[in-house]
Amino acid sequence: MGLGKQFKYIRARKNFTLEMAATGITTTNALAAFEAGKKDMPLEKMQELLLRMGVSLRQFANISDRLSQTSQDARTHIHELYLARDTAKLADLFSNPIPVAAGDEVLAFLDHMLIAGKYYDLTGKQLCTDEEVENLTTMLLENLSWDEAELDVLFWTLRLMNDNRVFMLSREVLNITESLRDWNFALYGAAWRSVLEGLAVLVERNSNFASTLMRQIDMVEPMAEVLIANRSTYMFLKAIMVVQKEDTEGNRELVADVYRHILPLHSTELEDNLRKINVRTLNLEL
Amino acid sequence: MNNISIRVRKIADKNMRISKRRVKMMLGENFRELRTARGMALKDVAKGVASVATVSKFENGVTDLAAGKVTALLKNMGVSFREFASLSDQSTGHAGSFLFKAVAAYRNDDQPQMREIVLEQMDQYHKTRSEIDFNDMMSAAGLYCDISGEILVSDKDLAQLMEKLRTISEWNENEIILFGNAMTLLPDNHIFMFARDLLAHLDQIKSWNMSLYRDGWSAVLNAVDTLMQHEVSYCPVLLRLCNAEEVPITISIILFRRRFLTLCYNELTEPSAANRQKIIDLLAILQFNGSTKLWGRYRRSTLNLVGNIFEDDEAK
Repeated sequence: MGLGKQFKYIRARKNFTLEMAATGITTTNALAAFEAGKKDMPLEKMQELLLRMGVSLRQFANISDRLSQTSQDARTHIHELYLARDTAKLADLFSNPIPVAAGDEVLAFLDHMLIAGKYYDLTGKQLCTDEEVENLTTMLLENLSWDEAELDVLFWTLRLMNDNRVFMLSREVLNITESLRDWNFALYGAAWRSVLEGLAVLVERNSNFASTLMRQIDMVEPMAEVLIANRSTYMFLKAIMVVQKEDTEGNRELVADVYRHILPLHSTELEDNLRKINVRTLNLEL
Repeated sequence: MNNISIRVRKIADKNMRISKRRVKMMLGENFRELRTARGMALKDVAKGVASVATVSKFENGVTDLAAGKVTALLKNMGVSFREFASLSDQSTGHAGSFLFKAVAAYRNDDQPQMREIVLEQMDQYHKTRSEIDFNDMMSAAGLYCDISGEILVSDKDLAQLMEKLRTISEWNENEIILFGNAMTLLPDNHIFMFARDLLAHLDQIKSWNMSLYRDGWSAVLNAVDTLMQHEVSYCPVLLRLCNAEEVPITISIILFRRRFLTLCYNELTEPSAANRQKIIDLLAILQFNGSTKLWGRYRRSTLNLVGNIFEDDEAK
């Protein structure tokens, strides 16, 4: 959404007339032109105008998310279908994508692959072509800025990729985690979740890349303490890797121990996640 | 009580009334910081948008740059406007920003420092009468009240706070941070009322802003925590409503805290060895994870809410 439109949205909600908003900072004409997308405005002035209405630049930026709902709506819909295990509808949505406006092709492709990923999780079948997977990986590797959409797609499509790609992408995301922490903690958590999903895939495949990725993880700043589920998952994966390296009674006990420790949290989601990993690797009694 | 959503950045000056020149410099500085962090040269960033000289002058705070141009430059850098704007926030979100100083003092339990911060901000607000300064003042006053029991703001300001929260049409970041931090200044029935309202709106927020969703939950759980200390009778309803909500594992700390408060409530109303053990087992997750700071905070919280259930002499 254009900056001007966003600004107008806020001005209306704050019950400021053009005059009230502009006076002393700019002219009503200039402001009106800015809101209509006809003329630009110095960033500093825009900030001043916002501050007068009690809105900081950061809040202004946040509000734009609320307004550009369409992609979020699409992803929410896809997730609802996934939760309902509606594989038929997912397959249908995959083959018959909604036509998109010019400029939205990338987001549409991401949504497209998201469907394929969730479908794969439910059925073990790959809807998309290998070429599409390769396109996705290239796109993500070239990606400069990781946002919710990219991290979400990555999380769900890692299983479609080969070990090498899983490792590379996980490492890419790993390297940006720390920079996210300061200004967008939710994204920081999502990034770590994706990295751990990458590690889980590699561990499940008993890939050599697993220990390499683990070493990379141990080299960066550890996950924030509040990421309780992520930290527990990481410990679980590490314990499994120890057993994969040396299968002893003691090592197996450690895996069970990690699992036991999370039970007081009463999170069926976390328990299921760890159980899934277990089933795909050692298949121990937990 | 947990303070709300403070993210850390570089140090700026204390007591800084943001002057025009300062704003200009900050925007440019932040832009440069983002650019150099990505190892990008001026010419790569400026490509197709503006001249290198213009961008350089912008970074040095010498020229204005149109908002649309800045957005385009940021796009060349691969930085979202949101990230850039977060750095430029004057009141929340970076070290040296007012709220961050307040929270640091709050976390250190530094009453004298906090008191000074609140009083200074009260002066600031009475000078500017700006909404942002009001919010900052109330947030700090709330945090201070939580550790000292003393309310420094005037009755008139308190009335304004309540009026503001009562007339909320939408729970946005301002309102959530304000309520989350200032609630200790409010009467219990108001805390309950606002928390219940916020809880009812959380689902809406979830669909478009995960960070805010998490902060909203934090505020609601702050309310449960505060009410548990003041007037336990408000808790069962609020807890029941909280536990009826599906919380995604992606914000596991919320799940943890919700469970923690539920167990503490159980212990308060039906003390038993079994209930105490459940609390200890829950906290053991933090120890097991090596989350020592968090473990420390929850220990203190336990002492606050249900007393000393630990069998060691660390607890005083």
